[in-house]
Amino acid sequence: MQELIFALANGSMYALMALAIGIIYSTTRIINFAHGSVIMIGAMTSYWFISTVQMNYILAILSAIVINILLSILIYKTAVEKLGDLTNNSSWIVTLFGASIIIDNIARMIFGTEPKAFPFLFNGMDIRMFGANIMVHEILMIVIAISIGIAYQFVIQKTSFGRAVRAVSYKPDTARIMGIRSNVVVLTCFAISGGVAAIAGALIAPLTFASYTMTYAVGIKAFAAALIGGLGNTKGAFIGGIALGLLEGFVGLMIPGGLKDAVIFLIMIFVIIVLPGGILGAKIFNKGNIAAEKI
Amino acid sequence: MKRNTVLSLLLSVLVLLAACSKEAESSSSPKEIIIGNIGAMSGTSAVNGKAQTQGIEIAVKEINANGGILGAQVKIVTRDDEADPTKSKTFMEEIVDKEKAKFVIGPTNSTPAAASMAYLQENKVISMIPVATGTDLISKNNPYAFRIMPSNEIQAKALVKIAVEEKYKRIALVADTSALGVDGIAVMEKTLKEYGVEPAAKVTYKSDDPDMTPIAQKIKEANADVALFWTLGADGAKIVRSLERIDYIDKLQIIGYTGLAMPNFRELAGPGANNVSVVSMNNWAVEPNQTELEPKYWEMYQKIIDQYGEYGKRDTNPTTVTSGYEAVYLLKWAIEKAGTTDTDEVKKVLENHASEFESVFVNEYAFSEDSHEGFPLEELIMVKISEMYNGDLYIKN
Repeated sequence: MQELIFALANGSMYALMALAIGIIYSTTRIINFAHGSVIMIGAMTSYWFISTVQMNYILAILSAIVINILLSILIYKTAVEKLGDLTNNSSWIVTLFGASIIIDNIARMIFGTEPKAFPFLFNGMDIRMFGANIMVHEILMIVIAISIGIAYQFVIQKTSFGRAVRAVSYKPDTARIMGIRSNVVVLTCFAISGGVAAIAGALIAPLTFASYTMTYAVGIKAFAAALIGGLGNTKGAFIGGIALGLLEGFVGLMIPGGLKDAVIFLIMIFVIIVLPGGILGAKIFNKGNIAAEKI
Repeated sequence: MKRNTVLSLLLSVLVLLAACSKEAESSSSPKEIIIGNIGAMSGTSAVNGKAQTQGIEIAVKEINANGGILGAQVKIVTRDDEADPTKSKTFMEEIVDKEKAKFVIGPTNSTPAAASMAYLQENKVISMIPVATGTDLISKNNPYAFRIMPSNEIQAKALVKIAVEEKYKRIALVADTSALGVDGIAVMEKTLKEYGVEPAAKVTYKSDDPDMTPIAQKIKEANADVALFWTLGADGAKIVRSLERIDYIDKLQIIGYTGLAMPNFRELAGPGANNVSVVSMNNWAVEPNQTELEPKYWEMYQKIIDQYGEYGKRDTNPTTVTSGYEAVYLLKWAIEKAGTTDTDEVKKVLENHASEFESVFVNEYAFSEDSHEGFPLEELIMVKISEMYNGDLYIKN
């Protein structure tokens, strides 16, 4: 049971990260390679507000969300928007990688190199369930990740902004002709992604410790989770994240730690070959759907 | 014509003799002794380079104030290699070729140190290594390299020695899958075999993995009573937390190598840190209920505090600072005993007479013709990771 909760908690961590990647991909068709750094800034600023300014946990995360939104807008304005039409332009790979390196180095200078002990929610309180110690923080990670996923789906499916996102995702040029300001929609998606990254950072940091390198190991897995679920499909991001967490948890128990990632990525390569559009890209889940409905 | 040839030959011989006598004179009574100081003074390993430099600065100030070495003032040429092997090698060439240094201290990181090693041997430059612990740096291929800190191999052997002598029955070996981890676990396993003991478990993991529960489970399943951690601080702290979560930490003693000992380990690992010890230098750990080290080590510690402040104001480790300090004094002593800066002569002194050196770091250096590892295995002891005296000195178990 304990292993299952750990695996689900890790899975929800990947899911949140993959969701934020998917939000940007769905409207721009680019992968935000600076995403791991944005998550890290969310964690480090939350830590700074808690430890130095003595803010309470919730207020610190809200402040970190505001900072991350501003940071994501800055990234969009400087590393993406300036490049113009991204359809046949791959310069964003370099600019976003560059942004990531700059952010990491600035964080190193400001916060130092030493990992910090980020507090767990409810002071790391344990609950004894099914003969195992389950941390409230881990349960809340799963609950918060699912809640954010549901809330995002609600916005996408039921609001006029959501319809605009779907329109920009499906036919950006047509959306523009129809009067939808694509740039504003994309900018808003970057901002939402930054906010989700701040929450992800604050939830992940107690497990990874807060440091400027905290997402180096998990960042690549978040991209993998997004791919497995179906890039740009936010429901898929969740399924990909949870599937990856479960896979990692159980593979880790069976084989030596050094081989764990190799085996996991081998399985992922197999899934991507069999289902190039990810799990939710499979026909069985998309009967009669048009592309705009797959976000 | 014949007369001219004879004169030319005579002149050549005279010039050659003059050059030889000048060389001999410059080695035995140099005007200035140049020592290179190279290491990471910025970037993630900056604290090591800073510590080495602080130790060197204290030593050089004292030596120059007391007449220098063989009457010559010591000049230090410092370069920050940022732990980059390419930069390190370029700086090393500059220090040796342009600055004409015959002695260098550093580099602080093992990979940059390895990058310059062949060049230093070709040029017969004596390199004192006060910080880098990579096992391969000291070998028969590197006859001019001498190490002050305990190498990875010595630390791995010490971990096993302590576990066996403490009569633990089921020993688990834990390491990450990096080159450092593979090196460490291999030496620990080999040393265990020499004691005739089979490890209860060999557990490896990928560094920086957020979930260390599988590692903790494997230690528990092996029913280990001690785990030897060849892990870095943050990873080790995660494993300790996981052991606590699965209710096994109270049944286990953990002993780690120096890489485990990061300043905020207790904060990261939580209450489980009470069961964690690391290997450390005997002379630089305070006896329980004592407030000072032995006098000469305490005096050195006070010098560091006077110069660079108490722990908190100073972010460097006093043992690393002392290792840098000791590197300069070892060179001074060896040059003066040899009566020359000729590196072959200095090397012979270090190899054959190191026991005569009055150290503020160890009881007696172990340098010999066979091994240029200076730190004696028996001077590594077990200390509690979670308790520090004055913020930066370990307390003996």
